[in-house]
Amino acid sequence: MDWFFFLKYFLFAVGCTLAVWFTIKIGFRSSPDMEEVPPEPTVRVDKFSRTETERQLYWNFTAVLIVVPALLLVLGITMQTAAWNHPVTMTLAGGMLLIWGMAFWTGMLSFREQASGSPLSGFAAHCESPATDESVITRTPEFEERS
Amino acid sequence: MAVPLLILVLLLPGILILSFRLAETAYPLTETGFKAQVICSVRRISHAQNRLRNRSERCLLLFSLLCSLLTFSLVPLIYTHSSMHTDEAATEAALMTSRFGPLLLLGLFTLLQIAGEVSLAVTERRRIPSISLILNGYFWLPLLLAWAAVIAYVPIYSSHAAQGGHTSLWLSVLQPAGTLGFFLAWTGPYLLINACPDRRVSPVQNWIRELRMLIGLLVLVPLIISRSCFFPLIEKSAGLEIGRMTIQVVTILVLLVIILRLKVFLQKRSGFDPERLWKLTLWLALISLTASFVAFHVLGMSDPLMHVLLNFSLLAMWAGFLLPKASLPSTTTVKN
Repeated sequence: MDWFFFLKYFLFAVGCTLAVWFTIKIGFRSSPDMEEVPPEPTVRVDKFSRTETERQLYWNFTAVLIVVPALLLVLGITMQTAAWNHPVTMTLAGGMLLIWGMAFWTGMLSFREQASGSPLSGFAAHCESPATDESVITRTPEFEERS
Repeated sequence: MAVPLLILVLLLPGILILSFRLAETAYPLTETGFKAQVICSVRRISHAQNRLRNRSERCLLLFSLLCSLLTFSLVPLIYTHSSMHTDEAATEAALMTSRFGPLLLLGLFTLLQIAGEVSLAVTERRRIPSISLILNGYFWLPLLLAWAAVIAYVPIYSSHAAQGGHTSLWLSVLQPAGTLGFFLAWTGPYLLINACPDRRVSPVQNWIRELRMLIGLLVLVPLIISRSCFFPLIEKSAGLEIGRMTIQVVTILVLLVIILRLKVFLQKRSGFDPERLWKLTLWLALISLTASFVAFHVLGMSDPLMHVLLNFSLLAMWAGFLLPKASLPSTTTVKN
């Protein structure tokens, strides 16, 4: 794929995007009978507890760290038939171990405990949401007291 | 050069019409005929477009549409790469030679998918509660890991690449775990948002998401049916190519039905946890990445059947140990 080939396809995509967007916007302008406006969706801002936000930040940081050895493994594809004790293979194995270690360490791979396999699992899922709500509610005064 | 563009121009209206029809299923049906439904859907989208007041929202939606259409216009390259042979390698100065062509193309498609989905999710982050998962970086980890696992099997023309055994088995048979992980991670945002019980999507976002899903299928299918690095370099035969094209068309239809059924299934489940689905996909992607690494680098396997054995045993382990924890198949709590 040479550069002008890519440029041609890119311009084709841009042209298609604009054509599709404005054809729909102008060509199919709404008729008066469609004019009843659907109710404006309520603005809902997700309120996470502080631990939840910290966990998400932690996982985002770890995800960036995990992607680095993953890209190293992609580079290692060109060395597929090297011997297993070749230094490159050892490095890749180290990267593999790092990926697993980081994923386990941060708890990305652990499922929340639940009645697994039992017929009551659906019931447990029902009960889960009020329980988490209560914990959030009980947690917030503590935070306020601390602050 | 001009032939793929012509095919694309002919194919685009069909995909657009199909996406309009699919977008209409999110709303209570008022019309009965196919044509009337499509017209109604386009009017609805146009109405919602004209009501977009926020300029940044408009730009983000356009960018998301551009990402999907750029993927769509580069899809023929994957088809030509999958039917290319070593001796046809490009000699002139090229941005992307055929040596690592499939690898780079799939990476580009993955990045375009992430960029498009994130920019689409930003515009509706206040309406859907579970969307904050998609906006986080760690959500996209399974997709990248599955990409790294799958592309170990695409043909690259290096002196160190796997040689030895020859087979014409497809990639989905040689590396089923990675292919399944790639498929699940790719369609993950679509399933998550559509399975959300109290979602209020705008018609524009809904339509763009359907269009992205359809174009994603066009990317996934040549990957699933593509030849692996163990494919023998034989002469082209017209019959084989026609057969492959037929199988690809059939696979697109099968995958489309699977996705739509999965969407309805997840919608009807009451206690659906998006994070659980994400963790399952992450497990699958990690297992498939390990399988690719162990098979090629540690064991140095050149026998395709050994790859099949290893991957299917890992897939069975994943299904046996992890799926029961997910409690996905509990259909007893169907809410009507």
